[in-house]
Parts: sequence; structure tokens; C-alpha cells
Amino acid sequence: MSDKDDIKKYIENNPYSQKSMTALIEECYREALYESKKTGQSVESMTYEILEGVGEGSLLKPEYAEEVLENILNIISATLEESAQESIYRKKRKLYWAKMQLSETIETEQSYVKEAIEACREYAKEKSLKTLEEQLHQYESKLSRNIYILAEKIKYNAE
Amino acid sequence: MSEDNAFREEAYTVLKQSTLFGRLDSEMLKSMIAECTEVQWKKAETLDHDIGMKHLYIIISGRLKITHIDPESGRSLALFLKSSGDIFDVFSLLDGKEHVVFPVVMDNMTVLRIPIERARKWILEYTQFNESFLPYLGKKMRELEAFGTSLVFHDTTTRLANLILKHTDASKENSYDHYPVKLINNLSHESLAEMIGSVRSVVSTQMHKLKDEGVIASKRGHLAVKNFEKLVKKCDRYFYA
Repeated sequence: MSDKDDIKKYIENNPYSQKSMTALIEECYREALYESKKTGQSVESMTYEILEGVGEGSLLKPEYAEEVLENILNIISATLEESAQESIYRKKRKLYWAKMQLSETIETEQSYVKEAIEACREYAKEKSLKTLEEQLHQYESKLSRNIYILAEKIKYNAE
Repeated sequence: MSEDNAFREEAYTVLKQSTLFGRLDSEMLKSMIAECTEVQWKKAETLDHDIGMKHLYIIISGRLKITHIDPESGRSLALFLKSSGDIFDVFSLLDGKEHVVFPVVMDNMTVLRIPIERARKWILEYTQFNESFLPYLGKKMRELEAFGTSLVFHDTTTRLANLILKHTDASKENSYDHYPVKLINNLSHESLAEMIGSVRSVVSTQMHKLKDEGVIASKRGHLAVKNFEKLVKKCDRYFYA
């Protein structure tokens, strides 16, 4: 059954009153919007169907048409705004967790660098490899700096 | 007539017009339908990814989008949009292995359900069904081949034009002198992007371009083809299946 048929059926089963109409359109539009987002049906065709359903379900009495349409427009825009806020909030929360994970990954990678360099340092000490021991400090700084720059770049692009 | 009988009559009429079941003997088709159970799926309902392991589903009404999702990036690709007369899941029917896909119920759907082992026996027992099954498989494989080659050789504009052309009913002109587009006519740009391996922003740009060029039109949120010849010119017909 299409959105239009759904709303027409609902109107037929519920006697007309301004209050029930508002609640009815809001409920139908919210559900249809959720379904559209999930199935990939275009919001344009869904909105048109809802409007057609209202019209054909004889809610649009000529004398009240303008008023009713204005009311519907208010409901639709409020529902869209609410839905957009919800989606954006959810994405923001995901972004926050992604940033947390990014920080953790950077720290983990830096600890790998430290551990590996430390192992090299101990080996150089044991074998009395003085030149290698001196070079290790440079490697450690270079690697840590590169990871830091990479992380900063990612963070900057994510913001 | 009881509700059950009415449904079976409707299922018979629908399947008689399909590629897979259309050429079957009437009695054979009726007995196959009688073996099945009627199932309803609600629009936007979430189906388990492994439903195809136990049963074969025959679509009577509504659309089912078969999507693959990359868990890392979240990007999705819709390889099939199944409708009346199509079956799901062909892969599990053939090899009995798990097929990880995400079926999306696009409309309220009515389907017939049959245990998968029984469906496999249909292929062996009913010669006529077997004869129709192979061309059906061939058609689906050609569609996949066309999609794969198009993805490599064509730009987004051509792929989008191909997708629209594939679903255009060139035999019918509606009251607006437009050719109707079946199955994909009320999909969002994001959904169309899923079907051609692109992203929403690119498809939106291309759709606006096609509209500006007078190739397509949108009436009441439904896609239609305004200039069929122009659309064909935008497609590489060699790859069009």
C-alpha cells in the first residue's frame, strides 16, 4: 500500500476534526519519512503522496484549503527539522567516538615506536654499539614527529 | 472465494506474466503455488541476512532491494532490485552457502515461501521449470556482467543513463508525453547512487544536468523520460543488457 492509500484509509477511519488532523498528518509524515530514509524512496515522491492522500481523503474542504495546507506545511517542516536534528546528533556522537578512537590509535602507535626503539637501544648497549645508540634518538624523534603530524592532519580534516 | 484462494489466484496471474514461471504448464504452476506459504513483509522491515538459507522466496508484489554494505566505510551497493516474479535468494538456492547481503523491503510486500530443499527438488522434478530457470539465471548473470563492465569502462553519466534506460518502458507514453520509468521511479538520489556504484552528490549533479538537457523529467516526485532518443545517445548500447 502506498503512503497515499495509507493516509486515505486512516482519514476514512477517523472522523475529521482540526486536532485529529494535525496529529494524523504528523504521525503519517513522521512514519513515512522514517521509511523513506530506510528504503531509499525519494522524500519528494513521498511528500507528494501524503499531500495527495490528504486532498483525496477530503480533508481539503475548499473553504479551509489554504489554512489546512499552511498547517500541513508547518507540520512537515517541523517533522523534517526534528528528524534532521536527530540524524545530525547521531552522526556527531559517532564523530566523537571516532575522535576518541583516533587518539587511542595514535597513542598505541606511538607506544609501538617507543617499545621498538627501546629494544634497539638495549641491544646496542649490550653489544656496545655506540654510534647506533646515538642514532636511535634521532629515529625516535623523527618517527614520533611523523605520527604526530599525520594525526594532526587527520584531526584537522575531520573537523 | 476464500481469502486464501483469492491470493493464490492473484499469485498465479502475477507469476504467469514472469520470465521464470510464465512458460510453465498451468496445472504445474498451480501445484507449485499450492506448496508455498504466503508471507507479508512490511515496508522498511528489517529482514535477517540469512533468510535465504532456509527458504526460497517468490515475490508477488512490492520491491526488494539487495544491498551490500562495507562495514568500514558504511558505503552500500545495491546489486539487485527484485520485483514481481523474481526469486530470492538465488545464490543460496544454487550452492547452499551463506550469502551475506542486506535485503531492504521497499514497499509492503507479498511473497510466497517454500523450503529451500523443496525448491531445489523443483529444479530436478519439473523439467519446464528447469528450462525457464536457466535463461532466468543467464539474464541475471548478464545484468551482473553489464554492471561490472560498466563500472570499469563507463563514467557516472553513462552508468546513470544506462540505469534509467534499463527501467524505461519505451512502449508506453503517458499523458504528459513522457515515457514511464518502472521500479526506480520514486527512488532518492542516494538510492540511485547505490545502484550504479557512485555517491549521492555526483548523482544529484548528473540528474540536474539530465533535467536541464530535457532528457528526463520529474512529475510529482516520480522520474520519467522526456526525450528517449537523447537518453539512448547517452548510453553505450554495447554494454546495455
